[in-house]
Amino acid sequence: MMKLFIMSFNKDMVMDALNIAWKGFLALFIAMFIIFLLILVLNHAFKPRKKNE
Amino acid sequence: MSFLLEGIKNITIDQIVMYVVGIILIFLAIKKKLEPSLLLPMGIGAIIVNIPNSGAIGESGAIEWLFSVGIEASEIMPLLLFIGIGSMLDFGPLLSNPKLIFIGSAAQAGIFLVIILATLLGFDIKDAASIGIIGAADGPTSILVSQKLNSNYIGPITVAAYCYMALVPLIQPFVIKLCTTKKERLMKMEYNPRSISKGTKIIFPIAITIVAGLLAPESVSLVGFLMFGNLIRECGVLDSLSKTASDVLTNLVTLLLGITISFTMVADKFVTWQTLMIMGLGLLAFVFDTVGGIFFVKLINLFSKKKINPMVGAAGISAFPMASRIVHQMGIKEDKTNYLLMHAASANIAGQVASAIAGGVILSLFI
Repeated sequence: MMKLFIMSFNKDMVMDALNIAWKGFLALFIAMFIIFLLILVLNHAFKPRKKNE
Repeated sequence: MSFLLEGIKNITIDQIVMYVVGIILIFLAIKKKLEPSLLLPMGIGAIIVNIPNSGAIGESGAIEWLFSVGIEASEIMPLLLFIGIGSMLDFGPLLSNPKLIFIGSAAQAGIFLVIILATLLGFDIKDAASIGIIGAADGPTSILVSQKLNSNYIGPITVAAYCYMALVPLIQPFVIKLCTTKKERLMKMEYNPRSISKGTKIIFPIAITIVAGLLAPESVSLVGFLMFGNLIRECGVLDSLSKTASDVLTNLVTLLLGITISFTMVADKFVTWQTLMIMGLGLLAFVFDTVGGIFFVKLINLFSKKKINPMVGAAGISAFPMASRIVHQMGIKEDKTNYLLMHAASANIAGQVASAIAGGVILSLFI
């Protein structure tokens, strides 16, 4: 039964999975890159005050 | 008096298997202390829902009601847990060392590789995506994504996600040793933390909610609730709410979440070959995540002057703070002066954010 299940994979489904995998991974990196830029901007804009100021 | 024997007469082999599964989960929770707050309620729940003619499921069953209200209707239970998690997170180490944020993305590689593997094994694409999200190493994300994608395997996916999160201290050291040389593990990193202003800590969760929401609208409840919890923590005027969220709310939701999820552990849905395959794929997701993080750091090191210890890459998974502790302990084991905790914590927090966004990205690609 397990063998039958494994043999039932659909080529179109695998292509869809490949498509989702690369798009998803890339989108994740882009989102994290935007967050990285955001952190740089925030760190620059809101520098902590020095104690002696 | 024959009604007393009704239950015994109606019991099936599959239900007996589920009692064994329930007892194993309770054993792992109590004896091995593996995620006891979740595995114990799931274990007892697995027994309750598999009693023949169980009153806990069905139209007036309490566990079915909890599932339909708390998870099926709005996924409110995992989302409430996200408020608690957010209120426990300190983004300080990540904000002071932002370049480590990319490690969090690379250490989600397991999610995407397992989606492909699962379709190769014959799973439907939505089920495959739900199985892949085990690699987010984040229980609430796994529950939420698999529920939103209407997966048929929420039960096994949740069990796999929480079991492997608990087994991170066994899985990761083995994979890290396999992927790194002794010289790499001995690599020391300087730690010069930049002080972060309160303004940055307050604006960060708000900005992330807006950015993540605009990029992947489906993720806004996931990321938004996480950041809401963090905002309560950082704002400085809601200390008692922050304490309640990180303590009482988290405990209460966790208590109910475990027993609620057990609704999906009814024998005829759980005792299948697919469950075994999901357990195997879940393990692979965790392994690929760790490998992805380590090799991404090795790749960065080829182009960077300041080298990062490749073990820090393994901390990019979402299992917080376990993954960072493991990396730190492995560093200390190699050399007593090799402190990696703060670098690993930065990567680990990046993994928390990345896993929630990865869940949202997957939902956006489907819905």
